[in-house]
Amino acid sequence: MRIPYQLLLTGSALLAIGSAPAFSFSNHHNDVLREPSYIRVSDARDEDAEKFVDMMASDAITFLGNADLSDTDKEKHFSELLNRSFDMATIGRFALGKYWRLASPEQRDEYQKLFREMIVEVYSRRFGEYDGQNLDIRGSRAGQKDDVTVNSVIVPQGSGQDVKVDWRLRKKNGQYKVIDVVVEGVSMALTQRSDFSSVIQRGGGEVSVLIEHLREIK
Amino acid sequence: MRFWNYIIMNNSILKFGKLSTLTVATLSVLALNACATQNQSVMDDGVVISDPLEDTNRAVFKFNEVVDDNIIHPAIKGYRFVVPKEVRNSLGNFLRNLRSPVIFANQVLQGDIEGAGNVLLRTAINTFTGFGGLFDFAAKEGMPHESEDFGQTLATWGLDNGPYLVVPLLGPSTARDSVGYIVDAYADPLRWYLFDSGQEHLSYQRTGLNYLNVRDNLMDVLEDLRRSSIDYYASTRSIYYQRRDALIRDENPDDAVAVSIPDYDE
Repeated sequence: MRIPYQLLLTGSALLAIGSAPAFSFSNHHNDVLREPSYIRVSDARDEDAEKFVDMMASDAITFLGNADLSDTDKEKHFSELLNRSFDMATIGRFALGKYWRLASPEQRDEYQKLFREMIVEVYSRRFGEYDGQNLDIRGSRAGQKDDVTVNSVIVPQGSGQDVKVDWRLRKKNGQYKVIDVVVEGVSMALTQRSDFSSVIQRGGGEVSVLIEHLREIK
Repeated sequence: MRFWNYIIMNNSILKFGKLSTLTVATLSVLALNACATQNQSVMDDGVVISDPLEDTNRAVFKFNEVVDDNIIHPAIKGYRFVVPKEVRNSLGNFLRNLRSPVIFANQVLQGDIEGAGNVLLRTAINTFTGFGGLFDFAAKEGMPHESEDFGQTLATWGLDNGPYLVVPLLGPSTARDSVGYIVDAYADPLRWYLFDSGQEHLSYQRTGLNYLNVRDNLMDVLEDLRRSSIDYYASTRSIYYQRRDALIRDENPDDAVAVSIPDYDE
């Protein structure tokens, strides 16, 4: 698996050097696609998307690894990162699944607000687990419509297993936002939705039951 | 919709030429099955969860939680306190290396010749240069471990998951994967050898260490999941299906049927 990847890397690096003007100064995909076919090898990867994830990870690592910051500070940083880089409206709505239609406008607003707070709350509790891990970008590929998936690996410091993490990004108003994080093949959005649907289903199909639970987490 | 999801899923299997006739034969059965079974929720990416035994499963799940909280997790914490991380990792590598014959057999049964070759090479490298498998040098050389079991083999042959099961002490499984688990355990040549040579105790010790190792690897993930979910049972079930699906596809991104997340602004 690694050998073709290295070939591809070397290949695209060579191509990038060879076709520097066409490659590095063009942000328009259409322009690149009109170039001779060999350039498409590098076009299969989306450098902007990879850079976006890389920047986001360095951001996170900077505040997570900063021993001078208090937990409250870190939580604030994390909340800002979510605002900047995640499409929380889309994630929240997806997580509610078919019950979105059944929710009243007021319920929708409250749910979205509580969902966001829950994510901050739940992930902030995990900050202590950060132990010098790094995020290595391994590639990217175009997905459905304008979506791009960036493949990366969390590399532990010292011995231990790598963890595969795929970031699903969607471009909105010219800006990438994360719409799902897939860890070792497990989609966070889908897992969240299974959790929420089960809560609502077992609560007699009432969205209010879920909202009640989300209020409790706070 | 369900039917087409199956077609898509099974097509990706056909591409790999893994016993394609069997796959085709079971395809129609699966489709019928999916329509007929009640008490199931369907996921967007074609994974069907069938949980007709949910009440029993939830009871067993609760039981497992109590055992985990009071026995398993405290034991793992003690184990971590006494045994350094490097040693625990090496034990994991060693146990995984012992599983090589089973992984190899499953790769062959799945018609995955490349995967089978990968296991052979990995085992040779790790056994001879990695001190009997204590170190996974092969992974560092770009030959990562691929987890294979008979449950996955049955899946590539086109067999459906069947009902979801929560097994006491072992946790999430499905009817298919439970059968796979038992077949793997009994077909393991190392187990035969140990039993034939009157060293059953080593086989039992190995099983015990395997359990310890698996639970050690899972503890943090599961605790995180429990804290982040409202219905821990439902999210565990979802993750089990998603993870198994990824393993069956050998985590090949070309075959991954990504969950479709609509653009709600349109």
